[in-house]
Amino acid sequence: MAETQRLRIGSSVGNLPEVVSWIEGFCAAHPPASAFEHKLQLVAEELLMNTIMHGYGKERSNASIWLTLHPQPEGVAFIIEDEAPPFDPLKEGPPPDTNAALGDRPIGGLGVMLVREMTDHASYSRDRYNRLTLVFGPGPLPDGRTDGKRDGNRPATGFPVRPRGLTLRILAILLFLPVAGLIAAGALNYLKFERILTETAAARYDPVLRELVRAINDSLQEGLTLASTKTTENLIERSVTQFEGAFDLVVHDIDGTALFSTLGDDGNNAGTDSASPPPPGEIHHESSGLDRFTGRMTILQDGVPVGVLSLSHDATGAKDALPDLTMQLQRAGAVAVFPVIPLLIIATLIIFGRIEARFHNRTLAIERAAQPDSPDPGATDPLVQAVWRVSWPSAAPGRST
Amino acid sequence: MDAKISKVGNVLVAEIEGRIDGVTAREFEDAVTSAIPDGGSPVVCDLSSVSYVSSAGLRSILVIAKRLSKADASFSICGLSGSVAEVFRVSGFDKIIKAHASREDALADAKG
Repeated sequence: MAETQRLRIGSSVGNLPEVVSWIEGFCAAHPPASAFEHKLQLVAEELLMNTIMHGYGKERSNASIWLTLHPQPEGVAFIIEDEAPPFDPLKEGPPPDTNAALGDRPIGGLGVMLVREMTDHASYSRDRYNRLTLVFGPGPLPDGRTDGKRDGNRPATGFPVRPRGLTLRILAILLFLPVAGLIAAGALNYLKFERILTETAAARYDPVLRELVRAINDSLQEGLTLASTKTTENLIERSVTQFEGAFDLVVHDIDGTALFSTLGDDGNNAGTDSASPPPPGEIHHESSGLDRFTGRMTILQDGVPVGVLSLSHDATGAKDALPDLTMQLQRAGAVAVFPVIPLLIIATLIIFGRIEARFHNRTLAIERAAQPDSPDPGATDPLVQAVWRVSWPSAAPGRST
Repeated sequence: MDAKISKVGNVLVAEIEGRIDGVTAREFEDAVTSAIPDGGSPVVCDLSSVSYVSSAGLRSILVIAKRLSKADASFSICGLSGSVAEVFRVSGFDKIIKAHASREDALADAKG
């Protein structure tokens, strides 16, 4: 059987000869149609003239008319489509009275009646286009298309999810947000943890430091120097023993030189204290990492700063006092990060992958529709339809054979 | 479409050849009506060499027939065959336009 033939023509009476020879060519290639050639020519002309004169009118002579010839086993189906305002010529108006006398016979109005009489089946449908389907001879309608129904449920032209560059870029942005948020939350938690540890340590050891500094201050009032007084050393050693070595004490003089240290043989650890002494009566707290905390307080002799006593201890004790906070930090990572990120990745891939697939499939559909002699894309997408129709073989306006 | 107009006695004979369709119908109509004198004259249209007539052609024939009818002159056609005859039959024109099988019959009728 011959192939389906398509022709796009401009809305001009001058194109009629082009259509006549196009139909002749089709009938020569498809013998079952040749028995209907005269009827086909007549119906095609009547409907074309109708669209050109009344559908588009003279103002729209550049508008397109789309013609299709579908070969049928025992005949042919002819489809004519236009973009003129909705109009069903098969329905409008009563058929002319063929029994009327010459004087009563109106001029014109015969075309539609001829179309009805010359076809075995005629139907009209409208979506974006006026579509008239005329069947000559028996047989089924071609591909369910000539009755004007469009198959909106045609399967997609590609896989429905297609994550590519766009999706991955959006995913990167979306992943950056929670990761950055988690890092910020972690940093805030660390600071909070450090502050709580420092406060805990201070609550436990500040009274000891104050007590010791007061005792040293009292002993210095007898006129001895900080470096020579035996009392200071005794006090320090007694305190360390009393607390079973839970902390270390170092005394620096006002220039920062270490005078006494309970850090043992490893006395270099005491080093020099380059930091300025805190104001009298105040305690300065420091921490190195979260491992070691130090409280410093100024020693006074007759109200004049003569040295600094440093009390340092490791953080084990303080951390033991805060088991809940440590647990919270660990749980925050496990609970917040691990379930959220895979969910985020899957949701992004599906949602944006679908959007990308839709773009991709539409591009493919447009590319396919733009090929010459491509079949009906069957798409409800107006852009695909328009591109497909532009690609039809066309007759130049006014060309005649 | 080609129109050859000749006179047989007082009868105007228009011998048409080719297609009378949306493109050529006006030409056909003008060729015949311009040959009709003001007072009217019997006209015979010989369509035996016409392969195709559409509603535009029927419309032109109707215009000519109405004009002659007003002038009280006779109008007939002859030589209808095959698909052209079918169009005349389907449209009911065979009932309102006098049709003869041959030109001789038509001329005899027009003169008589």
